[in-house]
Amino acid sequence: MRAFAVSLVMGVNYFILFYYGFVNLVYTALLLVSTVVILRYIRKIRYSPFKDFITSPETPPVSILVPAYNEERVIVRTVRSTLAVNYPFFEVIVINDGSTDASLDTLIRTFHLRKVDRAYRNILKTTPIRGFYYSPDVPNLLVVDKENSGKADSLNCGINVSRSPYFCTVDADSVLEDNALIKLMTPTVESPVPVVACGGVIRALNGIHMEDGAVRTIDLPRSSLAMFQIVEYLRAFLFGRVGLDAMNGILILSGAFSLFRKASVVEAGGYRPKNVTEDMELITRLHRRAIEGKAPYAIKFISDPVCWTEVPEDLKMLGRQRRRWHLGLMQSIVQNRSALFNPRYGKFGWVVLPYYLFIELLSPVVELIGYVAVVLSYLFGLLSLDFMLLFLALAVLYGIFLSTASVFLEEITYRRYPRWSHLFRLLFYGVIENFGYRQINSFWRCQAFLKYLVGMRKWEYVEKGKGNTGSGKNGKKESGSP
Amino acid sequence: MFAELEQILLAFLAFLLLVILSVLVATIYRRAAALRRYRILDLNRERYGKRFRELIDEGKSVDEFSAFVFPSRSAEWHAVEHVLFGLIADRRYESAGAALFDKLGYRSQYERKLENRNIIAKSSAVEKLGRMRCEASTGKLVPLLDEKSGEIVPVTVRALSKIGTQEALRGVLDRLPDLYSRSFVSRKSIESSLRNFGPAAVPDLVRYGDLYIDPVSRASVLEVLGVLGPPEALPFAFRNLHHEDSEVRAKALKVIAAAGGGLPPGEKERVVALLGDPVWFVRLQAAKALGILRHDKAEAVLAKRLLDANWQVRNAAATALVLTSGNAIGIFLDTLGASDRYAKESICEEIQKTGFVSRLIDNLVSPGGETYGKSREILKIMASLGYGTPLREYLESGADDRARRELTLIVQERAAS
Repeated sequence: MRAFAVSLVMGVNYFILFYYGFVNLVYTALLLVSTVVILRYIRKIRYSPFKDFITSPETPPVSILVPAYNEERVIVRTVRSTLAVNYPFFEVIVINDGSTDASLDTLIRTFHLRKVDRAYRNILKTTPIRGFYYSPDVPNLLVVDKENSGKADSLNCGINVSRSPYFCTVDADSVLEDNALIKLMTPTVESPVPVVACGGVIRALNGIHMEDGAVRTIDLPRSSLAMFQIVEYLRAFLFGRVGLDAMNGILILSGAFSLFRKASVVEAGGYRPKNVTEDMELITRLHRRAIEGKAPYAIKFISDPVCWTEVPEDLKMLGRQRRRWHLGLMQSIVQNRSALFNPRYGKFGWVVLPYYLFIELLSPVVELIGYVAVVLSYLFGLLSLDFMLLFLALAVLYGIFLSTASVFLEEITYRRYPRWSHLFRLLFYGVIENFGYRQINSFWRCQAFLKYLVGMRKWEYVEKGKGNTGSGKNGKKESGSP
Repeated sequence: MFAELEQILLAFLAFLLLVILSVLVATIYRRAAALRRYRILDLNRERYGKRFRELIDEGKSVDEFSAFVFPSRSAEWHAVEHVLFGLIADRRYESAGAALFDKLGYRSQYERKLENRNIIAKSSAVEKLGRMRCEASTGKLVPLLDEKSGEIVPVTVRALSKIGTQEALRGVLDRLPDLYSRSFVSRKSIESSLRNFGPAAVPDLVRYGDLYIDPVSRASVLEVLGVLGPPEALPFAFRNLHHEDSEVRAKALKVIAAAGGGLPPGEKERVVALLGDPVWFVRLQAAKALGILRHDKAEAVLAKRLLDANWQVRNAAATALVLTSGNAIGIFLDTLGASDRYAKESICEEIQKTGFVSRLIDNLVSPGGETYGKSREILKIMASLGYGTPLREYLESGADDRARRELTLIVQERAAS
């Protein structure tokens, strides 16, 4: 029996060794691809026609959808920032998801809105509308008041109301940079292949100084937790997604800032309210439909346009957010398991889904198994302290390498954090996030995994920023994993 | 074996540590280098910007600027380039700026780069020549449209449109069907660029449009003409009104609408015929065009379109009726009696959006008469369909007591029913 247990533990040890070697190899490959792609993109920006498109009548109109539940503290700021974007034809549609605070009154008062009657085409079925609010003073702003039903349903409502061929989703606590939308639309317009969805970069709003709905000065937050997330977002957006985008393999575009071709989303049936990460589920469905329809398509990630959004500053809320993201990932993969290793889906079935399953989804579980294996190896006398320390150092150093490489990528590309102190703090947090923060993240993701297995698949309510309330019965608030 | 493995791990750890340290140093060095570079660039930009304007204001010829020729990769070169782009954006210094680009070697430098194998460097050079509005480079840029690169072709189309000469325009139009068939550039990009050529491009657009057999190219030319809105494109648009391709028909209608009123009634009748087109977006453009052309004889056909299967067509027909028909009230009332709820809602919405509802309320001031009765009936239907906000607003703040009394009665009748 003991011999069997020893063999098993040895086997597990070898598997974990192989698994981490493989994962790190994939990450290194992604980092290399991203570096090349992003450097090319930076050079291409110099001749990008986005400034021409700002004044061109050929630029397609866009509806900016802002679902909001109990956002009275930030909603005016968000609406002002979206109204201030440089874009020739756009409308802002705020969907008040049955807020119980003064969100609606605040909007009515600030923008002098009046109740208007409007035909509502319930193409994507939603909960009933309570009213439309409009002001001739701000003709491209429309507020839709509806019964509470969650973010996905609110977005479907916004799609029903929208009259543009494209829509852009923006979270109610987010702030768009003035050229963000046009920078997102330009590659869409320029692409000879139809772009069904396109996502931009999310950065932490914490620490940023705002004025009249626009980013005034960029600074870093005092909170260490927010700093960890800034480095994490850099890593996710500057090399993770850029690398996956290079092979049209993006499954996650942040719902806080994504652009969609409306016809494709309506054909796909809109957002599904039952999924905890409705944005990821939609992107996966769009991939599948396009592949099944054998139509050329692209789902793009653009590393330049920025949307600033608040990130949680306490562990409890961050834990909820991360569990939710992992739960959403799991739901999406389980729902699309028929495409996994299915030749019909080509690289989507053979590379993209397996990547998300084996690397993104399972890595925290393997990590957990690794810890158990270490304990068992110790009990069975299989553990060499030297080796354990060496492997631990390897794991930590590799993490540090990835984080600092992300900061380096930021430095050679967009350099949004202008001061020397910003750079040193980013590098510092890039190093120390590997001592505790990443491990606790893995713990939350494991929790999500276990919760999914025991059937606890509900949305966990996340509250970000001070006094900020979350979202709806289903707990809708923020969206988009880094 | 374990000792060897330990050695390998240690070596790998040392290597990783070295890489991390290199990344840290490179990040810090990069920041320092960038700060220094931008500081020098800013200083030079300020210095040369001021100096160049002074010299041009003093009436110096471009030959007297030879002291400002710098090596192509130097900070001074970039600063002067930036200054010159600033000059050509300023109407007062535009021609001097363009001449200086040539004199100071920028044109020849970027033309040399057109031979570069690196696609990004080449595209960047193309873009620069376009921004410089280098007419002399047109001949070198046009052949680039034949390249098999999705990177270079769109940039070249844009660059040529910025140069804006007839040679550049013809270079693009000669290759338009080919550009679309090879899919190296999107339609929006080309249409956006063609528009940059401005009204002077209209004769060529029409001439080439007539030659194109390919419907995509023809529709594209019509789209651009629809934005430019020249009356001289009308014969071309009418020639395409019955084209077999629905997109061409729709775009031809856009050109007619863009040209505005002043068409003889016979021509307007040709537009009316397209309200019965089997394709919805052709009907939509026909309804929109008729709204702009103010053709009062179209009301019977527009009234039919109020019950169109497509909501955009319904809305456009309602708007056109409000704008053109003297009998819009009667037509709306007849259609509001139809069973299609969506059609009724579209009409109510358009009545509100176009401000026609105010006319209906004003009609309540003089009771009796046909107009009064019809207006009252429409308002009643609107209230019953949930479009009563203008009525309530008038009750709160409307000026006329008689109208308010009538509206009160309508609201009460609605409540009672």
